[in-house]
Amino acid sequence: MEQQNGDIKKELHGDKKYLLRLYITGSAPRSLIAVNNITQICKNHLVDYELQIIDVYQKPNLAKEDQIIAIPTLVKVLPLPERRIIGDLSDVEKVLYSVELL
Amino acid sequence: MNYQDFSKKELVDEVRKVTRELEEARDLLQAIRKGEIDAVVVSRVHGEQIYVLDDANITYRKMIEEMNEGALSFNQAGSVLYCNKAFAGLIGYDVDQVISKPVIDFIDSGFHEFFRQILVQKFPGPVKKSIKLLDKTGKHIPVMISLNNILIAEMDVFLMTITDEREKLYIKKLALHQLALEKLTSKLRAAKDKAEKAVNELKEKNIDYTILNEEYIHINKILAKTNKELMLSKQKAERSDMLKSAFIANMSHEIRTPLNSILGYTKMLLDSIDDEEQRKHIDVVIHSGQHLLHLIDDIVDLSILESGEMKIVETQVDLNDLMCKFKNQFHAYAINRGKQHLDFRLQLPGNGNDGPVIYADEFRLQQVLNNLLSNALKFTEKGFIAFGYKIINSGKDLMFFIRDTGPGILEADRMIIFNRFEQGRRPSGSVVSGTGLGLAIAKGLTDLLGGKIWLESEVGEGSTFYFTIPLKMVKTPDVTKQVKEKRLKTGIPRLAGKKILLSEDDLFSREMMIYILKKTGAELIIAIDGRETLDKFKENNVDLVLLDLRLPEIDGYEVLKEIRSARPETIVIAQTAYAMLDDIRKFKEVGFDDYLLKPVGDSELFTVLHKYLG
Repeated sequence: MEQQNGDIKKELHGDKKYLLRLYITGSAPRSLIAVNNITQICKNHLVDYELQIIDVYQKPNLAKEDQIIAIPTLVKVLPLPERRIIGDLSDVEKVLYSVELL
Repeated sequence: MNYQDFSKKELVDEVRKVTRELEEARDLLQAIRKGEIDAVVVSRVHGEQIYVLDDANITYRKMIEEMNEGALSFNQAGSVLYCNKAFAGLIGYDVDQVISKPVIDFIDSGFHEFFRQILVQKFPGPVKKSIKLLDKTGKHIPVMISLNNILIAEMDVFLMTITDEREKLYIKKLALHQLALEKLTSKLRAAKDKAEKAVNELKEKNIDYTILNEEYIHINKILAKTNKELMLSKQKAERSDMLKSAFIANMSHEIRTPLNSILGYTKMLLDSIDDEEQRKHIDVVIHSGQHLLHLIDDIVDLSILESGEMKIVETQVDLNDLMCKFKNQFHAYAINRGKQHLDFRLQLPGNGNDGPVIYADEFRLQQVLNNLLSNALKFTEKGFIAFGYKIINSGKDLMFFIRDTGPGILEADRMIIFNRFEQGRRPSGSVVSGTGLGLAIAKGLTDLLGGKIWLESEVGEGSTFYFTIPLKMVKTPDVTKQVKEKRLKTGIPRLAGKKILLSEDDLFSREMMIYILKKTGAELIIAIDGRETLDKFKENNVDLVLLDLRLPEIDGYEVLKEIRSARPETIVIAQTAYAMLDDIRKFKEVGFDDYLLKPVGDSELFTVLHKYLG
């Protein structure tokens, strides 16, 4: 299959510590809430981070590579190990735990 | 896998990894079961397929439904598939009144060709255009549209957003005013500078400059005055639309009053002349006067329709009765116009006996039928005019039809024929007489009544006009009213022994009414103002009062109140030159038994007298 979007680089731009990737479907309600929540969490708790928001409608291939099953899914790509959280990310503690900040 | 190959640390790590993956898998399943997700992504042969949960699209829907910008989609046939509230609101409809209708129903006819092109030919790609919409009342709304075309489930769908440009045009207009104001100000400022310079020069030359100073003050005053006038003219422009309606109402009153006298006296003259040649001339005068009257009525109707102020008043209507009335009436008209050979066919559903009794605005319904039948009669020289109604949409709507064997309507004219002042041509090419308002009014009225109007035509064969109204059946018809209406008689009523009080301030109208009323043999009591009307009413035991509304001293409405409180059973008929039909509908509400519209003709007056005194 053609991979227009190329492989997802598991590398950080510059020397940032965190690479987070949130998969959404357009502005579906839980996707919308998830975007809102993750931007808040990043702003309040992270310093060195890169947040990628990926709309699977626009880039379906990326979802395949990351083996995404349900939307919204947040993938903590870096630092390893990789972690993923499903849902609208309204449980801040849980998100922070998975991102290993707690 | 052989676990003995792993070191203890590796084993622990491996167990941790598997545990985490299991946790994530559990979380995923839980999230799916709880419905905390929007979509599921599935790998398929052709790529990734995204399955969206039912309510995941709600945000899009809400966004489009609630956004303050019109949105509309239609199919290749031009039927509206979807429209949002903002669009429906812009043109004064409910959303469900727009969906499934042809999109061009809501667009000014000047842009129909553009839409036809887009629908028929290959779509050239996204396009923006300034067009005009047509709102429920027939008013034009300038908008900017943006059109795109996409495939949804292999269906060609046109997407359109609609931006209201009234505000923008208004701001543009204001900006122009502003610009004019600034230009003028700078001009005057230059003049002021020049004057000041001149004053200074004169000062240097030691000349008395008081006069020039006065001139300078004068210029300043003019400047202030012009500024004020400009502001006023801007406000005036804004008010002019409102004033239009009032102006038309007033004009129609002013035209009707003298016409009243012209028509009345001419008819009186006709009775006293035996010479055939002279009678013909007078007939022409009467005919022209009546034509003028129709024209005024039409213009007034159209202006009320346009202002959106026309109200619907529903009463019980016996449909077959109404249709029979029309048949007789138009048969008589045809004979009048020398078309007695025309065959009028009334086609009623069933045996034509037990027609439905419905709730409808009888007056407006009659107007539409009248306009369409008049139109058919005007164009049909031979053959027949068939009309009637059918119940369609499993009892939801009434569809009326008027079929003629006239010359037919050219295809190019079929769209414009319902526009104001526009008329079709006869297929022979000859020009058509009339004002071109009848069909526009018919369209405006059917819209108002919640129906549609359209036509089918074959050049050389004839035309059929159709219109619908929602069918509202009456469960228990009010029988007494119908019986009363059915016994309408014509001819001069014999009213010897009856007392009629005629209240009229205008000399000409009064003389004319006396002339007509004398034929009935009733005893006449005359009053020329409100006070006298009340006095004479108290002195005499009158059966019927013909009451003018614009009376000196005490106006007609006050007089009515006094009459009603003194002897409520007395029949009071309003007579007025107010042509604003909306006013007239109010008469019955305030307590008049009936009304006569000036100029009052013999037949209208006799019909009313038959009805109440016969």
